[in-house]
Amino acid sequence: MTNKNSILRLIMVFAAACILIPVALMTVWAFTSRWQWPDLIGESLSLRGFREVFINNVQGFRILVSSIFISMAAAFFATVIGYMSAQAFSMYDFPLKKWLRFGSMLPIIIPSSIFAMGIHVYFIKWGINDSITGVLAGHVLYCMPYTVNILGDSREALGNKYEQQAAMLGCSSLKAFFSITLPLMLPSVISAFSMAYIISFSQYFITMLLGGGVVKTYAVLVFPLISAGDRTIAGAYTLVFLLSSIFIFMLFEGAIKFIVKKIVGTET
Amino acid sequence: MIKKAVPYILLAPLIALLLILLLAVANSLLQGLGYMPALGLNKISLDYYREVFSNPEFSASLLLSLYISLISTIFSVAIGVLICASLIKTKKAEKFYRNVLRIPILTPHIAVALFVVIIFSQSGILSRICYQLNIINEINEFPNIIYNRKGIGIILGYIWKEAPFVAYFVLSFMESISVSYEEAAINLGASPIRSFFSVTLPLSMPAILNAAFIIMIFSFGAYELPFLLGVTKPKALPVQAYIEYSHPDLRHRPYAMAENGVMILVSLVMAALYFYLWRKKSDGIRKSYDK
Amino acid sequence: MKRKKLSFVLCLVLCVMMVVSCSNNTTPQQNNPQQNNPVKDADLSEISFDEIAEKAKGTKVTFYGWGGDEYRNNWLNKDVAGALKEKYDITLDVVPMDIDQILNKLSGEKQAGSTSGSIDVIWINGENFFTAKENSFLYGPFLDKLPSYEKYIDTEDSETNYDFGYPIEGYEAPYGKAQIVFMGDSAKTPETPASAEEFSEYVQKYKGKVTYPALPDFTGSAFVRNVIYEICGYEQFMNMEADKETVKEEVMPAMEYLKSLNPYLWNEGKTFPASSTEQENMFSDGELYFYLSYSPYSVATRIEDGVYPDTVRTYLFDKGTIGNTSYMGIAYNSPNKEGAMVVIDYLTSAEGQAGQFDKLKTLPVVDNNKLSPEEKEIFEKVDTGKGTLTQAELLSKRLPEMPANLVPIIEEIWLEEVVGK
Repeated sequence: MTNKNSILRLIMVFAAACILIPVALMTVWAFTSRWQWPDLIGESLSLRGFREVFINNVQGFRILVSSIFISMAAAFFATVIGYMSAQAFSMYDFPLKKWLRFGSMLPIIIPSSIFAMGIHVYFIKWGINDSITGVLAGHVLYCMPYTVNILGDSREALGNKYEQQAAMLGCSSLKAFFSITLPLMLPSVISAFSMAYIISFSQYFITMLLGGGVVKTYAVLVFPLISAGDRTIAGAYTLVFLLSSIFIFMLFEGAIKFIVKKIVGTET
Repeated sequence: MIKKAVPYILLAPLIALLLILLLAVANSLLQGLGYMPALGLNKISLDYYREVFSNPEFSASLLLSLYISLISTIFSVAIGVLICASLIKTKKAEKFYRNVLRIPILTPHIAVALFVVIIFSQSGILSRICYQLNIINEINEFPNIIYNRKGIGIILGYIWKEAPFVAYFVLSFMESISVSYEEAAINLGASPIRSFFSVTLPLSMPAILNAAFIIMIFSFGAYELPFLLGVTKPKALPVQAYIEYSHPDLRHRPYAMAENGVMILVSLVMAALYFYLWRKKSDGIRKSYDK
Repeated sequence: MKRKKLSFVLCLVLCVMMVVSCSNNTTPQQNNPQQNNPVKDADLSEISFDEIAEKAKGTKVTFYGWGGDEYRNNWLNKDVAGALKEKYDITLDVVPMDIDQILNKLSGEKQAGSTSGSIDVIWINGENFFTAKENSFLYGPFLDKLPSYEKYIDTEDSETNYDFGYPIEGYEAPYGKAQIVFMGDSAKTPETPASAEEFSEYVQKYKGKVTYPALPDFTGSAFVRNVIYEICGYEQFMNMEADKETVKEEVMPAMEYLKSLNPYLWNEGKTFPASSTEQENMFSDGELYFYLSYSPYSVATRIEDGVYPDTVRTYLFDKGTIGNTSYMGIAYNSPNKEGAMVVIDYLTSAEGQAGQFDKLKTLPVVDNNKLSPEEKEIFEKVDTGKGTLTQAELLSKRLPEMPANLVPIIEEIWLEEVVGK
């Protein structure tokens, strides 16, 4: 028994190492000045990379902040649409239901680059190319399957028994939604929101093509630096990218825990 | 009347977005068939598709993309399921592992490319360690793991990101199966390994296959990793298609769209395969257990 | 209960605020008064430059071009943007984008019938200028409207009137001069091959450490053209027909030479670094011993910054290396042509060129004879730094670019004949 347990633990340790080591390495690289082959340690510690990210690149920080807002907006819309769709799929039966359900998974099948190339001309015709509207539409489209999925599962699991009870007790459906359903769905809503946020924040192709250089996100800024840049600078940019994602994610996690605690609190 | 319309009202934004997606697909397919009235091309023709298929570079790209997505999916699923199973059984530091597992999910593909380069490139860490251990003496004695014609660097990158995704996706499903059915099997005398392979694993198949489907299609059509870690020739299909799309001569556009059309078709075929073949199979397994 | 409702409403308000601030984050196009007046283009040829500058006051100008050089990006974003704001009250928006993406954007916009896009100034030259002009992606002619044209530029110089042998006709203004230099770390590789044979020996001596960026990368393409000049000569290309068979026959000896190098190159010539910046990265990492660049003085800035060790220096082939000029053009559907012209005029002036020479060490396009003694001094004061060659030496070994329409043909031939062979 202990033998098997130690094998399993070994697997987990190995997996954790495989995940953490690259991140650690990149962090170290971001703080070196130059690191020529075949040295195992960098030549010297230097903030050259971060100087580049925050000071030299005057737009860098501004773009990071606006990217966070863009992705929050995309996540917001994707979650709202996801919730409405989840409600439709789990609480109602109607013709075309199966087709629409399949349709909601379509963005997973059609690569984002194909979508962007196919719709580009139309966005120009409609005047939404090079604009946040077009980019948001693309982001929301590609976050949507995940939010519909996450929210759909929980909405179905929750069912409408609570709402029915509330209706029997004379509560209006609007009040029931805000006081009962939504709070119970909130953990799942936040989970969908953070998933959508990450997908939008990492989006490259859609923003690059449909944003036309006018809509600047952090992913589009960092991409060319990784494909050919100085590794110190690329490391610095990527570290900031990663940390901001993790930070936002933890923020949302904290929000879920807080809300769940409150719900559990009021129920006792 | 109003009541009947409610689900459709709720689904209106979804439908609007889907219509845009369908428009993009239709446009790609039509342009691939040579229909571009803006340029005076009014006839539908298979010429561009023919040209695409007769180009050896295209078939090399297509095969490369299929190869990359197949291999990375197989490994990601295997490793992901392994991690998932180990995670369920590990009680110590469970929270820590769950959080660590989340990191690749939060990491954008762009960053993953940087990781692969830092570790596996000829001037990367592994190569330097080999030099220090006297395994190699020259920087180019270290094998070319990335920038490799079989796309090994790309595959490694996908595995790093997708295996934890699979683990996470399957986790809650497998956990509930493990708690109920696997425990039952063990109580009836089956060895833990036997019960995992004969009970938990088959019953978790729907979730596993779902995850496999998602990452397979994604790794086939994604642009970022193959662009950042790929070689001069052959280029993965999405990279090649975009290069053709960027050609400043608009008369080249139908050719680029034909390549896109092939990608759409392959993705749809993969989706169809998933929905009809595997769903049926896993439904069958579940039905036989429910008896 | 009340608190939950309140926090939910707060969240909603926050989200709405985010969405609103989002839409304010796109640099608004609506502020440009020129946007809805395509007819105005005809008037520009009538009015004076001062009136153009007046119209451009308070507007935004976008500058699209290759963003792979962080030093240049920072110079444009800080120094140039600052000077433009102060002198002309123009806000400069630098957008890093590869030229083929830029051309693709313009071609898509042309196809959709867009009369007002988002690109104002384009950093362009060579075969890309050729494509752009042939497809009517550019606005012009505008060059002779710029005060800097008469004041600082040699109007008779072939590089002012021809870009890779193709007539400019006032559709682009000179931005900076470039010349191919090769570089190596003298501490690791003391040799400086000055001919094709010496280069071949060099490659064999340092097996696996030498390569060049994959075509159609700008610098990789230049390397191949330089080899062609070295082996086949260059005069015959100046008037050659852009026919694949003709070109192939002429360049075959050079292709054979490049093929002969393959077994000794990085990755045995089976794959090449995808871009010049990628190769530069490998060069500064020590993975490669050879790099080449169109910026003859970039070595100095890199050594100063600690990116290259200070033993790196540049060298040329005895028969010469290719030199060219890069230019600035204006998009056909630029929403702010007036502003674009002011920006271009600034960058072509002595002040703009001196700044570029000082910060980036880019060879200036201004005619030395037209400079005042004070202006000449500014240029002379600039120290070109370590590891570089003198301007005199560079100019004495400078070869002209071949006609633009031959370049894509040569790139195709290279892909067919050399890669992986």
